[in-house]
Amino acid sequence: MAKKKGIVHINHKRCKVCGICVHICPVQNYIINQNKLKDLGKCIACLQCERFCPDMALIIDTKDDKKTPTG
Amino acid sequence: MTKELTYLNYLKQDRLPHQWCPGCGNGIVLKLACQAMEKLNFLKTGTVMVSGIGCSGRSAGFFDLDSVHTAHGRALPVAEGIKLANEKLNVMVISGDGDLFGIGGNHLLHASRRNTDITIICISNAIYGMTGGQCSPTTELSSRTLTTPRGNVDTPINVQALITAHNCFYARSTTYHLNHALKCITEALQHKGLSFVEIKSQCITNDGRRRGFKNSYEMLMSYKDTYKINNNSSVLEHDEIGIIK
Repeated sequence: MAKKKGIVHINHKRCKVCGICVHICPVQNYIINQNKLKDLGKCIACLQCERFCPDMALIIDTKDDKKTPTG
Repeated sequence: MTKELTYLNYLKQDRLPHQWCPGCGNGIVLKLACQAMEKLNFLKTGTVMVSGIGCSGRSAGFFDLDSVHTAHGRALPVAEGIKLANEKLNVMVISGDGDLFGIGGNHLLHASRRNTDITIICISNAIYGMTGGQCSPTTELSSRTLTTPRGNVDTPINVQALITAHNCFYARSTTYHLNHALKCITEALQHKGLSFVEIKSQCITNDGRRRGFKNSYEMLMSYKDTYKINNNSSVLEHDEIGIIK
């Protein structure tokens, strides 16, 4: 099964660091460091954070491994 | 290339970020309303947004539609007037529980009696959030607020009985159940006649911290534990969410 991967775009002008995405992420992709949200590049593109974000600050680009050439 | 969230075109994006507190549920409801409008292909020129006073009353200003920010509690008479003046318009009301049940309770009673074709989305956070967290008509029994530090002694208002007494559309959902809430709003927009969607929302700043929640995520999860989806009954219990037509 091809693993889905996502690229996280955080809009820091809109983000208020409420922490909903930090807790709701199933792979612990986000941390809050010095009052700023950071992602660790482990995103599996489940889009939970994008749907629950109250500030419209997160956009996840889905990248499928099937479409990218291997080797 | 970055993906674009097309439903955000219904909002004035240069006005974002909005002024609500971190973790407030109003932003989620704002997104849900946009998604429902995009699903039904609403035109920007044929939709009017009306709101009352309060935290959620600020939401009308964020929509890139014709919008009215009315006096306290008087969102429903204004919405009815707009609908009667031009029947082709889709009229939506977004307001809070203090505005709709507390100050404008009488207008809700008579709006449901007249059964005008408007859609009401009520963001119910069980508190007067903007003024500091006083006890509101929808505050649960024995819930601690600013004005009831030993627990609320009055039973909350039964909105479901009030609306369904006149055979209007009533739906209840929460900010945790996103798909269910989206379905509620979409069906309410399609319904002919007055349709009322009550969305339970979290207020961490003035309500949650007095009730012992640490962050808004815990409040979201409390909705997951408390409310069960019920689609077949004609009467909803206090811990059930669903749609009554």
